[in-house]
Amino acid sequence: MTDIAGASSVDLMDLGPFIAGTENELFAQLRESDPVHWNDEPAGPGFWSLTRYQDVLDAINDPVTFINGDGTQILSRKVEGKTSTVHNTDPPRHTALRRLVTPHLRAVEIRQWQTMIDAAVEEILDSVEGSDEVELVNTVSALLPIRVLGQVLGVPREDCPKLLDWTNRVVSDDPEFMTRPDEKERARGELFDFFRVLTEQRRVEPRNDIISKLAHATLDGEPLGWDDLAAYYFVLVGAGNETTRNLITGTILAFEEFPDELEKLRADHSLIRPAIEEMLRYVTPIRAMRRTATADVEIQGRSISKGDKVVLWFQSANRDPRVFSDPDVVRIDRALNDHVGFGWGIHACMGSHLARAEVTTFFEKILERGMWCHPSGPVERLHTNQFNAFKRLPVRVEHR
Amino acid sequence: MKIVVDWDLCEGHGQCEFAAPDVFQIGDDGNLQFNETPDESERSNVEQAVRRCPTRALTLLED
Repeated sequence: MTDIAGASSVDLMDLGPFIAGTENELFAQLRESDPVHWNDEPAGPGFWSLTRYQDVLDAINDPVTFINGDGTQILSRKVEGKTSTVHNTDPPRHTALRRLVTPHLRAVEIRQWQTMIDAAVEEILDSVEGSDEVELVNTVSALLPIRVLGQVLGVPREDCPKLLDWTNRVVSDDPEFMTRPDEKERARGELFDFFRVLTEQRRVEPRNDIISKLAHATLDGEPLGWDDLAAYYFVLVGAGNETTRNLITGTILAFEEFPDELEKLRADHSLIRPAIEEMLRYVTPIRAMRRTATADVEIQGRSISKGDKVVLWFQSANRDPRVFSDPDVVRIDRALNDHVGFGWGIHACMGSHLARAEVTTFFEKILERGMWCHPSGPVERLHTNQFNAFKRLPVRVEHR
Repeated sequence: MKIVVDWDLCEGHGQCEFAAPDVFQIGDDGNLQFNETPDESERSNVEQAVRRCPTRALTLLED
């Protein structure tokens, strides 16, 4: 195998490039010279990395050979603890679990939440309108998804900040949130206790929210057990706020790189929809998900053995020049954008319609107000290779 | 164009709705509802829906 650029020695467990924001150079190197890349792991068995679009898609479309049941995080861990979330299970159980919630997150269902999403966006924009400088992540990006998610799940408004705190402590490995070794365990316990109380309430007094739907859901004719419920709450809370906030922050950063595209959007708001698809591609809030091979399989001449961990790098697939012309350029009117920003296949994001509604509303309203946020200082990235996540971004608020 | 669904394959994942929300919808029972003969203007969305179907349940036929 040719290794002209030293691709075989690339270490995707080294968080340095992810923190510095230079990881796309590594992915370009891997796609060209070592598309099925072996990566050692300091305290684990190591893993394969698929970095080309078609290889990622082929693997994701074969959930028999590449299963989720042995974990979807790059590290061999399950952040939800002993229970199993919908994304850490395989068919047929996965299909049954998923169908409990997908009907409530479908596009027509999301429309009933639009007034609430509008109000959440207006309130957040009101709070920054008139300011010169704000810190975007904690005053804007993070607030929108937790407010919306809180309502859709049925979490009282005053408790919404807790959702964010738990996500930070359970999902990320960032030292800022990991104040003690048992931090994850504690946060998980708090989250589960909180949802246990709400579930009991909704069993007695159902409302139009997802906690009520899950509290009354059945699987194989039996009510969903507590372990399954807890796992579901866990994944909905984590996936529902982490990703959207990073898409908003990532979009603000991306438009600063491509100011002509921002002007195009300002001139024609009908481009918001394709622009958000382009940002899902360009930003890729979830960089990767992992599978485990259930059989020996050969990809691009490399032999993957049964039991090996295989990481599907959505971020790299989304920058593959074989599929996207000028992949490192933002083009808000990009046609045929089959990005994998929400994943793909049977495990594709369940909340995509909600995420789109939130982000679309946010950009519609900020543009209607003649406002924008321009980065005014260095971005701080979360210390992780799994999410394209931002801790802080100072911005100057522009009012036209 | 005409859309055909293989009901033995469809599991109601809703990826088609994601690609073409005005053509495909997942109903309250988790089952797919769709417009069999959508307008020509929906073509590229419908083609994307066919590509995105995780169980390969959708086929697009020409008139």
